[in-house]
Amino acid sequence: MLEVRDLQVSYGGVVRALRGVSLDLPLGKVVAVLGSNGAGKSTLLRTVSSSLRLHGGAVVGGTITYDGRSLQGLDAAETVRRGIVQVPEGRRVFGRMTVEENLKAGGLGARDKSTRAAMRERVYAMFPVLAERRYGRAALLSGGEQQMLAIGRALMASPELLILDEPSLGLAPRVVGQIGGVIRDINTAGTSVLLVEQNATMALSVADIAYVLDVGEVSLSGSAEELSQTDDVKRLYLGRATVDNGTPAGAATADPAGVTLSRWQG
Amino acid sequence: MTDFLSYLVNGISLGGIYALIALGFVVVFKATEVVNFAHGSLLVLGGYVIARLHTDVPFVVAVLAGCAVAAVGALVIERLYSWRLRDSNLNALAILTIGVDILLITELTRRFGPDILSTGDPWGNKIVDLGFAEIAQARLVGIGVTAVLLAAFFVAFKYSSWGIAMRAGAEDGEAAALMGIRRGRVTMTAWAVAGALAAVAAVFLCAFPTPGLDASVRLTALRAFPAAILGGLDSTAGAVVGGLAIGIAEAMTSGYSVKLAGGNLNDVVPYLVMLLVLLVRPSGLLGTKELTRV
Repeated sequence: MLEVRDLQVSYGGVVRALRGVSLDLPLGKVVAVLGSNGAGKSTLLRTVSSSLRLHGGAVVGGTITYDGRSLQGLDAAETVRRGIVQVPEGRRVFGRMTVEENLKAGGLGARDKSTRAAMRERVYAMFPVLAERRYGRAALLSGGEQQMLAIGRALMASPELLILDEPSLGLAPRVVGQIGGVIRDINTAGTSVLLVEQNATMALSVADIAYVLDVGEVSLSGSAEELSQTDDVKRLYLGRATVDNGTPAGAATADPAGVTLSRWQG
Repeated sequence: MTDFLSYLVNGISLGGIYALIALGFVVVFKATEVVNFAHGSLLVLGGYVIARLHTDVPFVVAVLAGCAVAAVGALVIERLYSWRLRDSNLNALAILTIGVDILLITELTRRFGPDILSTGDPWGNKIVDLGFAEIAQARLVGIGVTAVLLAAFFVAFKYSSWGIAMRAGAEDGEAAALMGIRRGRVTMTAWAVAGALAAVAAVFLCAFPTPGLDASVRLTALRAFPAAILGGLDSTAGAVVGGLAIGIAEAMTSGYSVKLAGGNLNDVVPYLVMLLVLLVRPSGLLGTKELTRV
């Protein structure tokens, strides 16, 4: 399991992005991290995937361990070989390469090279649209297809822990629902998932445990079910009316992938 | 017409050699995003090793040794950079390559003295009559060797793990790192390949009908730089197209003795062709244009 204890991260020695974050991800679970822009969600993921240095950040305090071994001091490629693979925010597929080449690139970090061809077929089975477009350039896929490719590419390294940074970003509601289903399938097949999302509806529907980050600190945590019942989460992230403001405004949230905005109540 | 065909075949041969050198510029640029200004000196270094060794060992062994030394030379530059300068900006590396270039060529010039060395190639000054054109045997072999090397390179670049890692890293370094691609190894391989290709190019650049190897060959080698630019500095296929274009243009202007402002046009034609192409296509013939779907 992944254990983050009192993690403190700063950028350029100046900006303190995380101020003592602790988080547990038990084996086989889906953990969601919610929070607004600038709350430190991406920083947390970068620390886990050891890509912090690429952004000029550094851990200044606390510990982060996976399976009891520290993840600090590794580079991103070594972290992949420990079984932790991140799907970057904004998909970042290799646009000039074909779909198949993207998957091959994802397989380069696999610990067991012999399973790569079989893994590719599993990814194609999971995302038939990728199999149809396997010789087409990745840049020409739609946003949803690119997200599926980005997830498939990460799966090629056979991760034990898959990290997803805002997979629903910029996607149509129907596609967001599909991505939620994909995350559930991946988890059912035995992979732990750490999910950062602004779309709290989707995140809480797939997660077992959730944390809310607020300006670099954990402000709320608990089981996803509990958390989705709390007033703060309802008000801030789910757009549901709470007892405080009286007027019900959350009819649209019946759709699990639905819109998360509500109007200000006067 | 016979003249034309003869110039064309010579141009293709010369262009193939330029393509090998230009490919070195491109591979290094794709891996590290910097132009290796020491590439011409590395070529002379590889040639020098071959010229010194060929009297004692078989020619092929001497060539392999030359390739190895040039590859190691390129690796030294790459390691110097990633050892201390990785987090500084890329201009530092460009300046570093200029510094290495000056050091290396100064030392090689001292070692050459007034001599012009032979690489000991087995083709000598034999001429082959193709029926429609006459060509030096070395040039003909050059076409064959270049074609084989370029084909091997492109197969590796398209299908091998190294090629895929290289292209993924060139396109998005962070995403590649997150996929577990070890960029350090990929980059080192790229520099080494560039150095080795330069040493092979040295053999054919110095073979008959050119007089032989001395430090001035570096300037000839640098004519491949406009070839890389006009093809598109980040395009491997562009390096080949650019190399052939420059080679043929040079052979034609030289063959027909075209004069420009009292001098021989063939001396400046690579740069002229480059300028003309860049006026029409600023990113080179096959350089990257943004490919996105909105």
